[in-house]
Amino acid sequence: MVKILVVDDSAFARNSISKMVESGGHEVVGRAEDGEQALKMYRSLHPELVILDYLLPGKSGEVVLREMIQHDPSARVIMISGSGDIMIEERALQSGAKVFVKKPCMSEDLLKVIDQVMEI
Amino acid sequence: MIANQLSLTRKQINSFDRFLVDGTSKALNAFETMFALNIDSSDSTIEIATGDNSEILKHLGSGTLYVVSSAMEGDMQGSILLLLRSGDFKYLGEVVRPVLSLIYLSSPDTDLATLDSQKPDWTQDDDTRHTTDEAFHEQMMDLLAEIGNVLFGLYTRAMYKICFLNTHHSVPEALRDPDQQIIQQVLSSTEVADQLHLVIENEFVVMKRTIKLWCLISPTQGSFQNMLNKIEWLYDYQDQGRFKPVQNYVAT
Repeated sequence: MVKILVVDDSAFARNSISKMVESGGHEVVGRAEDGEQALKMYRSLHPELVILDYLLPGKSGEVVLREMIQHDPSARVIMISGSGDIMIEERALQSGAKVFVKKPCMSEDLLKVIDQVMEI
Repeated sequence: MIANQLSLTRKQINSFDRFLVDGTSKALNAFETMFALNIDSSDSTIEIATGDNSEILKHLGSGTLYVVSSAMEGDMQGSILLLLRSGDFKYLGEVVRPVLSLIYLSSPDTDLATLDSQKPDWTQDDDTRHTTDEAFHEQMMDLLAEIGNVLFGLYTRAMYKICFLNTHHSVPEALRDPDQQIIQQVLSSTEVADQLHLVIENEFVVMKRTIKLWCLISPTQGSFQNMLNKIEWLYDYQDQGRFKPVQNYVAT
């Protein structure tokens, strides 16, 4: 079981992702709707894995990711996004994300990615 | 074809068809994935038109619209809107209500009790309010914004495939628009009176009932011209063998 922080400005997405990861036996330790909340929760809750939306109001997911990595170089982050930006995956991986996942994703695909990331 | 009046070339028309097929097929798949639904059938149409001459936009009627709005950024600038009529929004709610109920069911965040008592309500589950109509409406607006987020991404990515212009959208905002002011603002904010827009009408049948979604893509004049130019030179490099034109292309 992995302790996971879910970050997305959409309540629908936060809840969908939470349900998916819980169906795989993982625990959602926190849900954040913007970058500032995400960083606070990361420092307080010490999740083993973060599922982070790229497109957030205010501080973008990419900035949040960099700050998380700066705070904790061992942070495991899966970046997720529905953006059409074709460079987004490359930028996310360069910024320290372990994997990039396109929205919407299937439960089984997300659970496989979680397993892969936790083996890294 | 009125396309000739716009001097769209065959390459450009074919590319817009390809854009429609690519974007819409992925949009339907996304819809099925998000809501675990089977879409019985679907149809889609694209129109390149000015705001005044658009036949598709007339289908919106004059009633309340539910709108998701984003700015287009990157290689193309402008606006992108997702539009639903009030009746379609209501039916969409009926269709997805069972899924929303499941998704918004409370789940125990047992480890957060201490944090909760310390103060931040960012650890709360989002979903303790789903029983009232007001709360359901709020969930639907949030859901609509996420649908817009996914569809805008799919359409801008499909756009990239026909013109190699890398475009993305800003954080989408979902709004109820009783007077259709948002679409009027977008149509009237263009630099020139005959500014062209891409208007997409998606019609799909779910549980024997039709839902229509419109997408209005309004690049700036410079971005639109740039897109047409890029399509011209890129077209010859596309794998046309894989391209299957849609039946009901309309260009006005």
